[in-house]
Amino acid sequence: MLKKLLKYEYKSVSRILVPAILGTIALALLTAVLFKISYTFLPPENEVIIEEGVVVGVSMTNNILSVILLTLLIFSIIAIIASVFVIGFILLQRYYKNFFGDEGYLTFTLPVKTSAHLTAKLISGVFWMLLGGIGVVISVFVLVVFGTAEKGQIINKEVLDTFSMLFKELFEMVGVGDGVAYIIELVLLILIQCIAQMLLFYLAITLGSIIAKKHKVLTSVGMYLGINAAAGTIINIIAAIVFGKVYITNNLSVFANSAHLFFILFIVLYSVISVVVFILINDLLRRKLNLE
Amino acid sequence: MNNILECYNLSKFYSGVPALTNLTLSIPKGKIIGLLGPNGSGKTTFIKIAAGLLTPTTGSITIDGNAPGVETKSYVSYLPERTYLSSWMKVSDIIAMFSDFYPDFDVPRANDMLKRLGVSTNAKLKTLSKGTKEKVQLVLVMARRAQLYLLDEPIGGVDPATREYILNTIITNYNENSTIIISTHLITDIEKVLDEFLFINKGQVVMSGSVDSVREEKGMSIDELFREVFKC
Repeated sequence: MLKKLLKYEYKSVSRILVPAILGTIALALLTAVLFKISYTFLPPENEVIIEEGVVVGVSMTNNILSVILLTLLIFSIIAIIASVFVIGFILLQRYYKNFFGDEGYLTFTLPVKTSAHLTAKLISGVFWMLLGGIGVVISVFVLVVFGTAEKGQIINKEVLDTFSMLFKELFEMVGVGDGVAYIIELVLLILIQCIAQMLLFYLAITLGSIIAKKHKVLTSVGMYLGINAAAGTIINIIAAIVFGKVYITNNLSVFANSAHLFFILFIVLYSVISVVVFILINDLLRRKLNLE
Repeated sequence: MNNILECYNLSKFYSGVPALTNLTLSIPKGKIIGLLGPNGSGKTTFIKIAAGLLTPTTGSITIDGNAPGVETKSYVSYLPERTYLSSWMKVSDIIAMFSDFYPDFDVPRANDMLKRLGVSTNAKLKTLSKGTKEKVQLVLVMARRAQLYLLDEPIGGVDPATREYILNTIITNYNENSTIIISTHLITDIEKVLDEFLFINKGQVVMSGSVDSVREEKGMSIDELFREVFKC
């Protein structure tokens, strides 16, 4: 059943999110290509001003291309930021409408367990959040690495070099084994934090829809702010207690170990939050559902 | 067990306001039952509790021995009083979805009914009129081989010719063991298909019985009886 639910989840959401993500990347690509062309063909006074690998501006002339370039760059940056909001909005709207709107009349008369419904929404939500994140990274990468390449070159090697330097330094500082461990921990932390975040959003909408008779969306927003503050406080208190006991030192190996502890602690905390919130939402859907 | 649905002392309050109060009734298998009552009498609330969309405040309800849940949803076919279709889907998409989730959904039967009603399976739901959407929903619900059909105002939004076709579909297409509960105000239209009736008001059963006995004993139609019982 979960597979079938995921299929319809994907069908419903992808028709908006795939164009949104691909569109953002395409716009970044177009901007980068036009910058490239302007390098190659424009006279020097129309050059794009670059400082330390970052586009600072285009020297203004009467040339229309410069104006187009700047506008495109601005649009591209806005699109990248907007894509994050669009993805969030579409996912939360899907949850609200499919569970508590008119569509809920079909959703909750399907012979499917509420836990399967919730799992499908969670997998879909985390999948698109991560995909959106990857889309943003690609767009920024395209703008920076391709868009700012010097004349005659396709990519800006400086930026890439800075990245590889960063990794090299990390590995040198903590050792290759530890470095790999950090990267795995970081990826895990991002994943589990995405899951926890999505569930907190879903919990807020569920509570808002079940408790409020009117202004369900507004109540959900309020619920989210409250829940988020509560979860943040709990995490901070536990982290303070744990780290208060860790010996603060300038010895690198001790510091490295406490950093592992930091990652693992947050992974565990967000996992616990995820499990508790999942059980809570499932219970609310099972026992308190009232589609009026 | 001869009853498909049983409820005992079933009550539902909406923030303190009663919609059902201590409703106790049993509905036998293999009958077409009219759930009739004035506006706000609790018809929709009762049907939604049976469908599993509302949680009762107190009391119990079972459908073929089970409380509303995953199990009952697999043999209860519910038609709500509103449109629940996602507007981005095509008619063929929603048919595929029903056949994915309901093992008792009969695709050829659904397609046949849609054809007779002149609804193209290629049409996007967004482009359909309200009445046509209602037809699609009714087809989806009636194309299942369910044990219990819960139809909330099934003919309210469609023209008299379609009404006729729908009622014919209801009587000719359901099998002997399944039960249909129809809630409606349009008593005259559905009277001829009903076996039994339940009058409810203010969340309680006011009167119930077989349609034929009312005709024989009182010489009245259900419509006439309704007007007498619920005289304003």
